[in-house]
Amino acid sequence: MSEQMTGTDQPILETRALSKRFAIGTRFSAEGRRVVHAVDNVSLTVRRGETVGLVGESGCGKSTLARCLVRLYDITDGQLLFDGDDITGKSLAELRPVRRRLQMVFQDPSASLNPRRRVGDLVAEPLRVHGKLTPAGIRERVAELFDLVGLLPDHVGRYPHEFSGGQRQRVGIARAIALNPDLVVLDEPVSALDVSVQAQIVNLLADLQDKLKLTYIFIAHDLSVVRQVSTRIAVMYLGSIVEEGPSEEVFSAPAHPYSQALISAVPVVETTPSGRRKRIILSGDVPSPLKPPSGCRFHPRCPVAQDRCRTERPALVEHKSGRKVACHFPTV
Amino acid sequence: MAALAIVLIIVVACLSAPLYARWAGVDPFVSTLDAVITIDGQDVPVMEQSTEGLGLGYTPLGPTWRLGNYFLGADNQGRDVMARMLYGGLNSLLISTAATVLTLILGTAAGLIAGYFGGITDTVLSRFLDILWAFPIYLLAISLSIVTIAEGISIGPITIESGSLWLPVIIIGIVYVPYVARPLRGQVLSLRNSEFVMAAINLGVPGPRILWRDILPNITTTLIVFVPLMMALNMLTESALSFLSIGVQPPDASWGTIIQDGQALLYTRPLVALAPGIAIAISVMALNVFGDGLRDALDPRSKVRLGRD
Repeated sequence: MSEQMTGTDQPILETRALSKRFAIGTRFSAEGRRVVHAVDNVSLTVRRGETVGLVGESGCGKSTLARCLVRLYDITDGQLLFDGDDITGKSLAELRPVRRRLQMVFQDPSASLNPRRRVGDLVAEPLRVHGKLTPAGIRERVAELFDLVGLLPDHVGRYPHEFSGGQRQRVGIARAIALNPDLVVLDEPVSALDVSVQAQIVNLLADLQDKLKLTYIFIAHDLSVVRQVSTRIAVMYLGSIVEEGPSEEVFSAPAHPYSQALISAVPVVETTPSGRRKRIILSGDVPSPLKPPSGCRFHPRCPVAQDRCRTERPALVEHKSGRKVACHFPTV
Repeated sequence: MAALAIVLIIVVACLSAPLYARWAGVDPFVSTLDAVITIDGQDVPVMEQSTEGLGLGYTPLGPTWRLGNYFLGADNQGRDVMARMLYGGLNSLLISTAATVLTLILGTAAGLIAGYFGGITDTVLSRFLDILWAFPIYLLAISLSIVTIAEGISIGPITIESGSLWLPVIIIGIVYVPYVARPLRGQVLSLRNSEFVMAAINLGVPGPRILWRDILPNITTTLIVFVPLMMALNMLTESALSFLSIGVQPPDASWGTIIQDGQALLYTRPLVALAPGIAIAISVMALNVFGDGLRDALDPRSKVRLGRD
């Protein structure tokens, strides 16, 4: 995807020590009231024009973070800044103008499109709610958007179930870009699709980024897709970012033991088996976010863990230019 | 869909009540103790002098099985039972339909608001519905009827006189609200967390618009399925209240009041009570069967299964 780092002025989106905790159960339930640390102390900066890939295994809090970033969830702790504007505690009504510029594409297009409404109507919805367009203007804009995402003009009258998964996701994308947003959070936009369709959607997203000067936050658990689209990636483990850096550098030389294991798991096609690739297999399971481990969250599974890791939690610090790692013993 | 056919036949028959009365030349709302009808050239009094049994007073005419001529006989006021049956059915249908509409409007509003807005709104609304729910339906309906039957209701500019058909409509409409609101609240709650509602919130669509455009269309199948089932329930409740003289007020008829009239004639003219009883049973059963069929046909889950590619 296009790399056009337009200077280092104001970041379009910035989180400062953002946390999201869910309380489950009541004090009357068997285990009492417990707290899930879904997103824990995430500080992330997204600059205009870049694509930040957010990777991590299922259940590590990627989607929760995504929903916090667009304020679909209330934020428990920390700050969220959009274009320098603190939107952490804004109410639904105060957020409305922000939403024009901050959009989201959901994972499952068959769940994120209302099955009872025609797709033209769905794409027109943001225009009706925000815009000052006349009905004719809206129709024109919808046609334009359909053309932009590669749908046919006579598709407007159809219902979502009349489309294939890829086409549905195109509708979801059309809806997200209808208001010309600055930042689009893509929450696993291709993981519900067939591999061949994935490529089409990824290409479409790249085209749109060029044409509309979009900034993306691209969430996925498929590392090869993330590698292809991202300029920078952040690796998440158990609700926190463990490593962040330019995409190619992180992929070619991951510095955190967890990233190393994760990236070693990417299947590659080897024409001549070289034997150089070593698959790192982690022992144990991901700990429950109900009871995160002490110290470094990764220490019970870490191959290089020391005593220090059990007690002291490493901060996400810059070890090399642009490379941030949350580890006491990074390999940078 | 035989059930639907039966429902339709009953509806059409009841709607034709005034036509039947005019054609038969009877007024089912005034007592005609001294009327005389002609059967096979013979003059027969509507009220026969009792010659047997306890020998007290008169026994009304039994069924003649002649359409338009006291088909089902006369009641203890000498009125044509068939004509009263049709008028009574009309009232029963009107009340149960109107009460269904009222229940669905109130129940949908409560379910949507409680399910969507959650929090304190949900708590207050749901607890209020729980209180309503906690009363046995008939106890609540009977209590409300007894309180309002003599004086009617007068709230602000709205006055409903006692004896008005609106009184049972409102009472029946209100007591069943929790039965509709609770399942709907559950559905709205799960829809509220669905991705397409999230997407709408993320687009900045205001809450009321989401309720109207995104959530309501997704619960309409449930609402449609509720209609026949609620009508059956309402018809039973209405008959019970009318039977207890706290529903439809005489001289107006309803199947419930006719059964009550027939109570005294149970030994001599059992058909007076039996006919409306059978009519209620058939209608309620047909509505229930139709409702079940409708649910099977419209079940959203089966639709999803069909829609999957």
